[in-house]
Amino acid sequence: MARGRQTLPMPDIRRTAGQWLEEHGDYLYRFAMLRVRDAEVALDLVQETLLAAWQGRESFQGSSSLRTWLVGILKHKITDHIRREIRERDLEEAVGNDPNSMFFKADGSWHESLHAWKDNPESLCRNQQFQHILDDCIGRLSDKQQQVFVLREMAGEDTEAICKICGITPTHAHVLLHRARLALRKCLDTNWFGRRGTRS
Amino acid sequence: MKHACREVSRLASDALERELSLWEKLRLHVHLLLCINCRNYRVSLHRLHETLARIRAAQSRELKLTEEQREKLLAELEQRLGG
Ligand SMILES: [Zn+2]
Repeated sequence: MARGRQTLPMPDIRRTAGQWLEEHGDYLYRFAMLRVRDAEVALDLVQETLLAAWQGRESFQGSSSLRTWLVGILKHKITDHIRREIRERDLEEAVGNDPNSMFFKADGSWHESLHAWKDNPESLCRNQQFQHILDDCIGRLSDKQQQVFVLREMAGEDTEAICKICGITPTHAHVLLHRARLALRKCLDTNWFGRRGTRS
Repeated sequence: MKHACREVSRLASDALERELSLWEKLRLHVHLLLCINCRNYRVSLHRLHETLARIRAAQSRELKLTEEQREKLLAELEQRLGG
């Protein structure tokens, strides 16, 4: 331990950040992954979080738990990331122009008859093949629908949080979720439920 | 009722997000009594919702950083701060 007067910050950050990673890394990574669904991006966000935490470590009051503090920072990073995505990829989707009008006839009734899905959630959630098709169907949603749907159904956020993250109104969020569900049901029906002869 | 299924499908989705007003509930449930398509749609939405909640729970248990990811993260942090 003869570090002498050369007290570099490096061993410290390795030790401190290493400890944070040890205790909270999985939690932070999972939190990010459920919201951005991209391992690379999630890792970057965790890194940014630890960096910001290290730089602002003096502002940590200890009044909240360390994890709460870290998650608070991560939430900001995720929000920044998602807002940037929305801006850069121009994910605006006007409420007025309804991409799902194709599901209904002019009189507002369904275009096709819908059948009930028979598979139960307990078996579906363990079925890799289904999850693969589900991912694929989610990937086919419009970018903005995908964003909101992932936050809602994959990350389990509520309307208030979604609006905060995406900078949209509750009504807009609900419209996007509704459209995402219409499109997903159709996609899953075509690629999973219909294909397997469950159509009655 | 004009545009019934179209509106009811929206209500079925909204019901997962917020408390519907009394009038909306009435509209939804009266229509569901009459319309098999909307009943089936609602069942599908609920199945999907529950399936996703279960997948989320499983991922919350299973998603973890690998050792390599951990090391890479630490090394990059050091570099960015020590540089
Ligand atoms: Zn109907």
